[in-house]
Amino acid sequence: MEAFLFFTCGALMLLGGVMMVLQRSAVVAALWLVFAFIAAAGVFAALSAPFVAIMQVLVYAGAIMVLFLFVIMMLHGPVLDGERKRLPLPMWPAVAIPPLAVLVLVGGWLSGRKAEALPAAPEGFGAPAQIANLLLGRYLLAFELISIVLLVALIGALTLGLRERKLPWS
Amino acid sequence: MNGFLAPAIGDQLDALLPFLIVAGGGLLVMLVDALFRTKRKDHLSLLTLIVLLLSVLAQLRSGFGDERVLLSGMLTVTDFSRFFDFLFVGCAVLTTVFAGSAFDRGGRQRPEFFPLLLFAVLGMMVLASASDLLSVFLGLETMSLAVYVLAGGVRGDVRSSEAGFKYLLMGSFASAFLLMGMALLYGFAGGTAFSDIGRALAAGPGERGLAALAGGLILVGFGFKVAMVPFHMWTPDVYDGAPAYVTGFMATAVKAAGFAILTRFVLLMQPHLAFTWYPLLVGLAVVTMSVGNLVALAQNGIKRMLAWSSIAHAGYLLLGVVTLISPAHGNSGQMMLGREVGEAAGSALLFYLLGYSLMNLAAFGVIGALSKGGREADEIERYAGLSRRKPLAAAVLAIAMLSLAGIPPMVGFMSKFYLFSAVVRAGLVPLAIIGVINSLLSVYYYLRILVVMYMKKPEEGGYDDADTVAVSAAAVLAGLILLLGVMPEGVHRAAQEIFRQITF
Repeated sequence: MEAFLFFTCGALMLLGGVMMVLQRSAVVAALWLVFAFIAAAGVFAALSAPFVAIMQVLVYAGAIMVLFLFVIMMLHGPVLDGERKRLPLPMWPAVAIPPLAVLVLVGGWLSGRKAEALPAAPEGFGAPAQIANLLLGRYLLAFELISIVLLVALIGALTLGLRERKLPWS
Repeated sequence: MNGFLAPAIGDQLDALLPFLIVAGGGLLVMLVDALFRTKRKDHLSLLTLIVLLLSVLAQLRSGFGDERVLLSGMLTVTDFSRFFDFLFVGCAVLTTVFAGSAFDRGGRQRPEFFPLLLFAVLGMMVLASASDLLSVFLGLETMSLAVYVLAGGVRGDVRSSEAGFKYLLMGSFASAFLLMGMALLYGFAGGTAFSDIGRALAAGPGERGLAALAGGLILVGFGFKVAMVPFHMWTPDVYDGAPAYVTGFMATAVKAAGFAILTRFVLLMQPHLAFTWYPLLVGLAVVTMSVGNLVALAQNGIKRMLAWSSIAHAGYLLLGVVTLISPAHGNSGQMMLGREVGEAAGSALLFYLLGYSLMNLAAFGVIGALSKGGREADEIERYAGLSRRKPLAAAVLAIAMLSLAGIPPMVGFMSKFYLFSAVVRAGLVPLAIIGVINSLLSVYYYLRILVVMYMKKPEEGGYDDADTVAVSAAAVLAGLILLLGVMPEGVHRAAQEIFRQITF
């Protein structure tokens, strides 16, 4: 059952990613990204990480994508014209890489070299308490440092993006 | 559940204090800037200097000689990392002084400069003491993001914006490589801690190709930060477009941080992967030196010239890294490190980074002091006759150039002497010869500045206004360059002591 859920959601996520790249309208692309995010939440759920799955829906598919859509619509999201150009030659290897990766995976599966099955998740795995303990214990430095990274990015975006007179606090 | 409980932070606090002071100081400076919006920004630079000084005091108080594993193995503070912490803070102090003087002379940098500088230093300190892939990446990103903004932060200056944007784009690309390599290495080792990786590499062949691929990708990421050829394309444009005091910071502290993590990483990987890393690094070192020096010959802007020269110096420093992992002779082709050679190479590397930082800070300090109203003193021709108009500034720049060229009795000579003698001791005579030829080549473009300053007649439109504070700070650096050139023994012995503690 879990394996079925995992592969279905994984396939849907890939579909969402591919469709997002292929869109000509930014709004439609963003909607496909929401689709991919929700499918990713399904993958997490299948991997016995329910809390992360819920967060994925709430934070990514919910909050962040709403913000994305808001900004795109406010800026009159660009829609590319109908003209289709040929892909420039240097780009072809980049296009070839994902199918190659899939081929490698399928080849490995067909050759019968099975990876060892992972042990079943222990009791209480993926519970919020456990994640909180990891975040504020082993990964305390990462947790705090990421907030500094985000702060620096925020200051950077504000100072570079805004003209001096338009800063809201001056 | 006991293993998940938060570690006792209390007894690690003294070793963590330097990090906390710099981080908290950055937040404080930002708040002070927001609360007291005055025209002059002297209070911000003063506060930044106090924060940096406090972090040095905290570092001194926590003591030396021991190895402290902090925050469940995320950081490992050793004398190696303490050396780099002092170097970063020193570079930041001088950058603050130079930036303060540029602000007074109508530079159009934003006041967010100071907190960003402190956050960049925090990222570097984390990077130099990181012992987990996660902290490596986060330290690197904290540093990089802050420096992108510093480079592009001059208001209304197209070239500065271009520099910042270019650096951001290329840097993000390099970070993606680094992250991919780290993901592969995690897959190989089953853990992100350096100790896990070392254990997995020692355990046997396994998927060694995977580890080599991961190492290569990570090398791309670090190579970008230290401006190693062929990942150097951004350097001239970014160094040229950013204001001189930011360029000085990028050329010294950022490069030192890159070499700190590169050295640690190479030492971690080398016992097992030397056969792939060693020839690769030899090639990169030779190409980096040669390309940097050859292109620097043809430059007309002094900042662009120093950018290419910094690429060349990255090549010399790579030579030190190569020597650190060079195979000892007579070991039937097996890569083994002679302890003595390793110590010589390692201490030469540290000494070189210190000397290199002194001379570049002095040079960029003078360039910044001559710049005015946001216009950079960049054209070499306009330095003509500077020795008569501003004798002290000209003398400091001359000392910095002579030192960069490696002429005794400057520190640049002693750095190169230690480095090349370590290379020779490792039996890599051809590499040493290539290095010496390269540094002979470099004498031409460094001396050109001296010739222009001292022997050409002053013309109309030459630079004739120098900021006293910045020139005095640069003069102190020039004094240090001479002092360390004459009496290098103490510092060199300390550097040797640092590498004696490292288990190869």
